[in-house]
Amino acid sequence: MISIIQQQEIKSFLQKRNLSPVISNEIYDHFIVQISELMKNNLSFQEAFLKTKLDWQSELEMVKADLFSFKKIAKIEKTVLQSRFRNIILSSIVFTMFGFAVLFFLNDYFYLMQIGLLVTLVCLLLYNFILKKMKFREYYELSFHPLILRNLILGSVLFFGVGYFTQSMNFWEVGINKIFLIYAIAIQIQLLYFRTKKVNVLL
Amino acid sequence: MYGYQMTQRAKELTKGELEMTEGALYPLLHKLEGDGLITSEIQKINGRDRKYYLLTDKGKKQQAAQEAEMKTYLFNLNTIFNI
Repeated sequence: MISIIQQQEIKSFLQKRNLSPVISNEIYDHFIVQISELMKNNLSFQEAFLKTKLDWQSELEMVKADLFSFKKIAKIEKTVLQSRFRNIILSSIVFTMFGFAVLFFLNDYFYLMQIGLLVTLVCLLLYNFILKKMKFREYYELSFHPLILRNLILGSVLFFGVGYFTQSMNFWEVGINKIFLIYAIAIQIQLLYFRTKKVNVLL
Repeated sequence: MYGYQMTQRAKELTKGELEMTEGALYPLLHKLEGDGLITSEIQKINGRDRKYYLLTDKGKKQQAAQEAEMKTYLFNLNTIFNI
């Protein structure tokens, strides 16, 4: 049986890893069960705790959040977040390509697509603000998160770079800026959607 | 089933041959949940939250398809090596 003081010891060990509440609760429960099972084999709490920590050493190692970040997060958290963020970027790219096709082949409908996206964005924002699921400060932090800014800068370099070299003088007329806007809004919508579902995508 | 239970069940079924690393398990569970193949529910056990994972209908279909694919693969391997 694990005492309250021992439970606190486990909690403070996990708190040092700066895990998000969802992952932290899950790992905390795992630690408690794993330690309890080991203690049934006549190990002391300290021995069982040490063995569990060693089993988790690699996953709880603190690593850089991403290539350009100074922030350190646990490796397990990074794996989960990277997978979600990659999905957001990929689906935004696919949606942007669809937007590109609409712009070129069904130009008259492109504005409908833009309106649809903006309405979705506003609805999600209103839903979050009215039901107090998110404060304005949180939305501000979400929009200017370093990871988002880096991706937008990278995206703008790619979009505008490709647009400039392929379209030369007609660069702005082609509407590459409209495409980029679609990409940026698609990312925003997904971030808000995950926020509504209380799924952590950014730290 | 919850995370720890899955690691133990895998060990038990394979008689210790397959040891799932916890670090690989949880990111995978979160990914499957994101893909809508599994769903989760939190229950209070001894005052702490325990997250149970359940297969969704989409997940059950995927499991059946993967299982059939794996059986065919194993059957083919067996056929080749038993020649």
